[in-house]
Amino acid sequence: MRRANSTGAVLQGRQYTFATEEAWAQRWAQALSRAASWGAQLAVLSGSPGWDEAGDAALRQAAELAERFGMWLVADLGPERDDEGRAFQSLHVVASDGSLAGTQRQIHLTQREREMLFSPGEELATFDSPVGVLGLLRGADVGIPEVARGLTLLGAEVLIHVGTLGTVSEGAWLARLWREVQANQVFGLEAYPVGPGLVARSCVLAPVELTLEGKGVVAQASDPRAEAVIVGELDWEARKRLLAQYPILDEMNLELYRRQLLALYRGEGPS
Amino acid sequence: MTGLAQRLGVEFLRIVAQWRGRLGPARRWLSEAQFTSAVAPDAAGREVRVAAVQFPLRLCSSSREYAQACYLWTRRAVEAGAQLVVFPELIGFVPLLGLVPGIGSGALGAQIEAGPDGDDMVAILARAAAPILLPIYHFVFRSLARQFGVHIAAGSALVLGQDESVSNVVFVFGPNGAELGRQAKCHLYGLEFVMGLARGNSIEVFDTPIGKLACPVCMDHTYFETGRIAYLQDAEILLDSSADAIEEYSWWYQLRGVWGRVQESPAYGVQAMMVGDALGMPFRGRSAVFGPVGLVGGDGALARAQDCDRGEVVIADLNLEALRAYRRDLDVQPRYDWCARHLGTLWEQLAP
Repeated sequence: MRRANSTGAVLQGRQYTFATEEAWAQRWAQALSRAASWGAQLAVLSGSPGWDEAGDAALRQAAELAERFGMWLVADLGPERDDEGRAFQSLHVVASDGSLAGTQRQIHLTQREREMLFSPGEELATFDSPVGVLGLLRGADVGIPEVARGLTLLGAEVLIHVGTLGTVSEGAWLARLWREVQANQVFGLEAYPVGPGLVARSCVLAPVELTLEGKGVVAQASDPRAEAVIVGELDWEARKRLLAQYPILDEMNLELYRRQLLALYRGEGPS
Repeated sequence: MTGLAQRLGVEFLRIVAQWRGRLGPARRWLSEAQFTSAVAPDAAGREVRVAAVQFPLRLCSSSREYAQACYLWTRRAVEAGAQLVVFPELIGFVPLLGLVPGIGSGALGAQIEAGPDGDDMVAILARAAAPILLPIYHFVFRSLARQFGVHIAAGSALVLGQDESVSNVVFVFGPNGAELGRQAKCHLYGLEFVMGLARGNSIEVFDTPIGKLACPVCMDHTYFETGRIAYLQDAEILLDSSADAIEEYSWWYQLRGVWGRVQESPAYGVQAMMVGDALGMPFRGRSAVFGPVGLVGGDGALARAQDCDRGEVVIADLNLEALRAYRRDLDVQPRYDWCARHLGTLWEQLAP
């Protein structure tokens, strides 16, 4: 599905609680139009819409936007609910034909999310898209390396993180998706919203070897407090050359992980 | 070169290296050196001062020369108040290759470039040299630890096992000179495959008066799994003895190592780099001491070397009490049951 090079966009928008799904769609249309004009095949929307549930109206609006701009969308369309009424923090993937490609529930919850009675997700999913195979990380999952590693081992080539950042510290930003992109040698799209108490450092990331200044950043918002459309090209040929030369995941010590780490995960270790 | 001629050549080099590497000169020199005592560990185990030695590589042509170089850097660290001194990867091997006649600059690189026969030669050299060089390394560092009264994570040396396999192993010495433990490198890279090294299959944690230490080696820190294994055994300080042979140094490239691991599995990280040019290889890096960004602020570096190609001692104070509180109060704890189910299954599927 993927071309030799593909283009991804991250939309750094203001965090609102939207009154209606139409208002939400209207809000994003202009940014999507800009991303489309720059050749983006997929756009990641920042923030969450503030609704209690990702209902049919939200999905319909997202589908219309995807079709209108001929672009895949990754967005938080509100919490997902299961048949038992449990709520999950989730990201939705909408294909450019408007169909729902799938969802990824957040696996690890913050204290606040637990207090709000969200339930943790269980399954990991990947999504084949025109910009590569996607793996999604919402919120706190980006700080738990097992999630990104699991997605990468399932075939993810582009990790997407949608979260919030409350500090201007570069270290805090580096410790999130940037760290996972380097550890798994994948591309990354990271979306942060702007707003009161929020700092946004939305970006398109790649392994350090693939970027001109060696920092691992393909493109990044220049102002952490302003809305922005960030577009970056994912150079698949360069990644292929890197993996041929330095394939980190090919040299995993599975024997060590299965014998010692698995036992420690299960509480069978010495501590 | 025929197999027989090659073996005879290696045997000749081995005998000469053994002669040049006899321990007497190192022992005599160390017996006359001046030693100051390191600061004793904090009885309450709250704080520790650590030193990462950025070791300027040179080939030593005698055990005495090697002892002098290691002494000098240990003394600088101890005089700066260090209670734990960390040396780079392969400090017990590469500098001591100077004992092998004719190994001069570029020779090893030329052997590697020579192709399959060159690869064989490097592997044979590693196997032949390891048992000669290890006793010198071990003697020098246990002597330094005892005479300065300091904990030393002495980088690594090559160890020839009973099954004839060769491993890259870090040794940790206590202030009485006793060996506290060993850690074999568990993830190999580049030249190590050429050298035919075997990898370790366990990550150890050493409980000491200056904190709980784990010593995965260089490439091991590229993998979150090693840091997690150490963390789940309560390791508080990850020691990263490294030697990166790279043409162009990058701080960002370096952050792929122990810096990333201490963000995921909160601990302090002490990274000691080998620097300089030898054997046709440019070793570069900036030794540094790291902590979780959420604990130490900034970009997570408590201290770092000024240059990537010169010798330096990097010093930092680690607040272990603050680390313990930080770990206890983490907002998000990993769901290890979930990790076991999902990664366990994936590892099974990937297993050969």
